[in-house]
Amino acid sequence: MNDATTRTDRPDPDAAARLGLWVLLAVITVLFLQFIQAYAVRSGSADWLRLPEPALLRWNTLALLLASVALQSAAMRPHGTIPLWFGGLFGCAFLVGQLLAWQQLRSLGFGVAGNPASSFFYLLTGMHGAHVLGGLLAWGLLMVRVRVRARHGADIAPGARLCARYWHFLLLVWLLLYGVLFLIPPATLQVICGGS
Amino acid sequence: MAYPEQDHAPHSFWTRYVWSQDHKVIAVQYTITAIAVGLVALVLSNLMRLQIGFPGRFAFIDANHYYQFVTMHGMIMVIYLLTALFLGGFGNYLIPLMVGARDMVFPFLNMLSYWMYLLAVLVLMGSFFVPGGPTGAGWTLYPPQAILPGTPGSGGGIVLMLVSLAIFIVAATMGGLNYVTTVLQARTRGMTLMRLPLTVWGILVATIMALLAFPALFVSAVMMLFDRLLGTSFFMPAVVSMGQALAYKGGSPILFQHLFWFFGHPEVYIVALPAFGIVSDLISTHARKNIFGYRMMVWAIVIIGVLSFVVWAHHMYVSGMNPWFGFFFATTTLIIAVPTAIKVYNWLLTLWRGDIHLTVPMLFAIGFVSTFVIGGLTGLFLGNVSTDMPLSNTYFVVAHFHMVMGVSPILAIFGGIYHWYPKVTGRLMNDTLGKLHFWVTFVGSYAIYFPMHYLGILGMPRRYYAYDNYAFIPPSAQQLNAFITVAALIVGTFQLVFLYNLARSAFNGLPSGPNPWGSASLEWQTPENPPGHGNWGSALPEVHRWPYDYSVPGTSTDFLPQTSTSPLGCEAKPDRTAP
Repeated sequence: MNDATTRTDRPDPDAAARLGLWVLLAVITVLFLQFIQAYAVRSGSADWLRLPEPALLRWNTLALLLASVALQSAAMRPHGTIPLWFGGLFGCAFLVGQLLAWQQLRSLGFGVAGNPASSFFYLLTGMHGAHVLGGLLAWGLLMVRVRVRARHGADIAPGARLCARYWHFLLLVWLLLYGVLFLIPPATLQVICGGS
Repeated sequence: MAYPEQDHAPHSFWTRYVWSQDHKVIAVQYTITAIAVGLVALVLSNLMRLQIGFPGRFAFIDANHYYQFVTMHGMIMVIYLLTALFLGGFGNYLIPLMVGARDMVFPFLNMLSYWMYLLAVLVLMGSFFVPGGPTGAGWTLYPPQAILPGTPGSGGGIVLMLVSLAIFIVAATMGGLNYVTTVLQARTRGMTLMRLPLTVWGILVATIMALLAFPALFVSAVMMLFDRLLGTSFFMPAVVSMGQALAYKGGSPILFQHLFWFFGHPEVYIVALPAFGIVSDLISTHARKNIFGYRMMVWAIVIIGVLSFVVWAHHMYVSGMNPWFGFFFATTTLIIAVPTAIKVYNWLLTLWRGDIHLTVPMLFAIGFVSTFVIGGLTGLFLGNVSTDMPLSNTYFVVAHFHMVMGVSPILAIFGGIYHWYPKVTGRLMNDTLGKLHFWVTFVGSYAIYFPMHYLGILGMPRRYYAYDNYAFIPPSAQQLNAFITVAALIVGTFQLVFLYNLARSAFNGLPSGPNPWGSASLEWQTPENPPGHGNWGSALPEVHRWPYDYSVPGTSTDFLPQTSTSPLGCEAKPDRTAP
């Protein structure tokens, strides 16, 4: 019964948005853990095939990392919008790179339906890409707000901080997927996930 | 995404009733849509019963249609009616009013949530009109049969079902973000977590569960769509279908079952926990007695929520599993009975020596306790591996889950609607029609589902279209089935009384006044009834007590509203020497 935990007339909009984002990140985390769990179970079957790693993926990872860094620096500097632009730009570069990686893999003869490992590759990267796209949408809204609020001199740092946090999260998810798809041997993964 | 301008008060018809961002309007939109689609599912169930009760008498119900009716009835009732109505309907209406907020914290997202839900419903209804009709794979949509030719609706039907589910999950996530954030961030001054009505606790924990469980359904829906549309083999093993070997190979149908039930079991409690909360509040208010063991009730809700994530494989005993696995899941399943029983005892102890008013909401609340206990007890048989094996594919299971998660939550919903209707409209629903509706629904539900337990123990298999040439099924079973069908038709028809009452009372009901039930919780203390935009007029209320101060000794009224500053009541530090 501690009154200090309760709120005054208007809830703090930034605090609400921060909590909302954390809840959303929890939901997305569960989503990808479920996908990875399914991957671990399926990778134990006899028809599993190891996938060659498209060389482009490392560059894409770098692009996503740079996007994260750029947005973080935007969040820490409330007035310059240039890092914000770079954040979105690297985000787009990542998506384009992923599409090219799909093409690389397809030209090597690994289509969506060919074998379970490549099915999972397209599924997982596609799901992650959809979340990057959602992040770019939020980034676009933020940029609109930058244009509108520049005239009123309002602070865009809270929005930039949310964007940056989402991007760090997307980077973490991507690193996890990268590891699952190419670095961790399926047998190890099955031990971790308790698959058979 | 951020908190929008506070003064987005609507001005035109369109912004007020259609593109509304007001949680109260969105709640009504959710409720009406859910009731409409639930009506479709009700008709489907009666069509099913016509075939089972009077096999072959109705030529238009062939085997394919029968399976489509079964599937759509189940999926609509569980997801599009119960989940949507509890969270989108009750959650939306009650959370801001009960915690003392002006609206949800993300009103635009809230509006989007409703329109996504409507889209999901329309896509699902669209599957009735595609070639081949809706899917008839059973509501669990098990692969491989769900997407293979030979199963009705394996063309467009199953695709639309999966797409609709994916859209619904997005809608539910948008709503869920709002409910959780609003409860945690937008409570008014003095409204601590331990002063929340149990309705809010039930909806809050159910929402958290929905946010964590629905991703598993999303994953299975997306992967099944890949299998169906892109030819992958996530769930599909090598199959010879109609004499032809298909391109699928190596997939795991059991993997789908795990994913599905990892969602599916928490789903049971996603509809049960809000019902628990609503029933607690109804019983306390209409018995004029504080809820027995409030803290215990809260913890029971939380513990049930956690446990429900580690019991899912009890739906899969008949799929075969390591005996130790079965042992684990049987144990966790039976442990859930402990917090659940605590809740039942606390309801009974709240009623004990209460000043019980048998109003329509109270009748439904007591009806809920009755059906929930019956349905819960049969769960003990099905939770044990050895007794589940012979019963799993029989009508015993149909009886069990309809009592515990069909009839019980819908009784709580009816009770809640009769109770909060004056809040929404400023008018009371007709009492006589309400009692007629209750007695027919309550007695009728027992008439429908109680005999099914016997049919199940007799070994009568569920899911069958017809029972020709099953020597072990005696003719009396068929008579019982005809009886059940007649009861189902009567109960189904009498829901029209409810709809009539719901519609007519909005305009012709008796004016209710601001607080017709003498309720202590915050939603009844608004300056206007029904509450205007922003709910609280110029200043937010201040809360000084829990919502259950009924029949407090030493006060002139028989309840103290949460806003009362009286020094008496449950949180007062009493003179311990007084008896």
